[in-house]
Amino acid sequence: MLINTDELLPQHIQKIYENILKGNFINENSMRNGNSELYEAISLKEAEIRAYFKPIGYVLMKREGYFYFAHDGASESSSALEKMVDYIEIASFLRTVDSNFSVGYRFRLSSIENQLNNNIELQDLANKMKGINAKDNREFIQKIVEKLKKDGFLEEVNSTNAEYIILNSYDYIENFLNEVEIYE
Amino acid sequence: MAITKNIIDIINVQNSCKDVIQELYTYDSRPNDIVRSSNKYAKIDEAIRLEILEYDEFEDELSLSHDTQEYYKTRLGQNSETYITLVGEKIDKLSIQLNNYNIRIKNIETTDKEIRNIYKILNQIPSLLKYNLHTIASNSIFTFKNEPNFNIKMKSLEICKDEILQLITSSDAVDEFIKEQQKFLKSINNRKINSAVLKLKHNSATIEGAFRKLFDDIKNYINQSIKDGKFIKKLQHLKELKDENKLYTNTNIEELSKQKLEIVSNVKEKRIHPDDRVYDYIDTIRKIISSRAVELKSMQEDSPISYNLDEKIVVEKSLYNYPTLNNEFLKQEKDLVTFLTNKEIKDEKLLGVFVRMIKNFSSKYKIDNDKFITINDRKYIKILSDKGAI
Repeated sequence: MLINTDELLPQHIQKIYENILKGNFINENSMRNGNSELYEAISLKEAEIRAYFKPIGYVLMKREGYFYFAHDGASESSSALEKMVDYIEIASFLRTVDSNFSVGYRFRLSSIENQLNNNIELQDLANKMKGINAKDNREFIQKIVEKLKKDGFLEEVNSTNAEYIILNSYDYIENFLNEVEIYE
Repeated sequence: MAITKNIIDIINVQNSCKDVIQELYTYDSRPNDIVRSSNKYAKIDEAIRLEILEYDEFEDELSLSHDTQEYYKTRLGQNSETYITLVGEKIDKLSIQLNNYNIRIKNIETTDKEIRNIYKILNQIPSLLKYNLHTIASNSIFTFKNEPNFNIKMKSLEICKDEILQLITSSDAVDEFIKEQQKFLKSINNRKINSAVLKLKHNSATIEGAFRKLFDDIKNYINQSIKDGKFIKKLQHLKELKDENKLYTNTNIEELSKQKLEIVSNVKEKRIHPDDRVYDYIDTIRKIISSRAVELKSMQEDSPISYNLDEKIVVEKSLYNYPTLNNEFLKQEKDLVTFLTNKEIKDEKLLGVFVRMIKNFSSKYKIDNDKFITINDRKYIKILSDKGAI
């Protein structure tokens, strides 16, 4: 197979570099920043792009509905592990809010806030989450949403009614936590 | 719904009959002549042909077809109740009507009423089967996708699974009954009943596949939900371990993190320089990489420009002071790679340092796109400092 890097479109390469620098995921179900178009472009030239970036140390990874770049030796840092540990509480809380909370899930901020206001079990869970300090339920939900958004796992689909969608990349968190073995 | 018909025709007819459909939805059936006189522009005959409406010629009444009723109920979100036992009841009623027909024939009495009832029941059974099928499908999908509570979801899905099994059994019972009564039904020798039997048989064959598919779908929903349930329990367990500060001792999370060299956030942390903007230099880097003409298949050992894709380039930035290297480079006249070789940069680091130099200081360099310098079988593009440009 001939890998012809000249066939790669410069604007896509630039976008990919931008994503690498920000540590972003490239999601198929994202409607923002041309992400889904970029996903499509990478899908079409996957082998070429993998070959293009490998010599400079970045490995293109493909999962169900999203791409991301890995770096050799990346896991040596403890902050990545800490991030995953932080997500144990968040993922557990969100699955308690709704057992369907996963990739592709759509929700409104207000609906989660309502559930939190009316569910003592959830309030108890929220109070025990040490990493998130909030003065009320709304701020608590907003902080979780902001974290998911900042880490590239969630996207706003409607700013008028604060509706969000969970991006395919959320699978990254769930997949990792699912693989953790618990010693009995 | 008459899906084999042209959808545009159906929509046009439905639109023309909006008021009629609304009225029949409210009242079940209405006298034909009254409806026609008060809805002159409605395409009622077309609606009957397209099976949107049903016309009972014995009673001279109009009603919605079962499919249309189901369609509107679904649209209005009212289709969550199943009526599977009704299928069995219809068979019982049909059996009674056939028996009555037999008695009347023997007594040489008129059988109009029985024929009408037999026809009606034969027509209702396929719609009833389809109605239940669609309702179970809709309930199972809705439950799987939207039910937030895991326990309620599992119970509801189990109910859907039981219902589809009951429906399959009922459908088989209908087929069996029709098979047993085939001769008798033929002996009635009524055109409408014959067509109703044919329609029932046709529908039965069509929806058999749909039954099986729905049963498989529900099983998948249950399996997926069980998987989700296990995951939720695992998350809760992990959270407990975290709260008790036992997460690292009682799980393999650290080991797993080391095994997986895919931590995205660290890609960001590995940025080479705080104000790194690689894409500003993209054209330069593209030229360097493309000049190596990576060719996987034809990668031959004797090719001077062959490049091993598995080769890892590790740049240890702490070992080199790039601004100092750059200043020294600008003060001399050699090309960049020769300069770096003279500076005794290690072979395995040469490419990384070369790329870094271009990336950081390319605005001060002159890049000759057509000339290359070969060192250790690698081709480096010829780069000179502005001051030393030829």
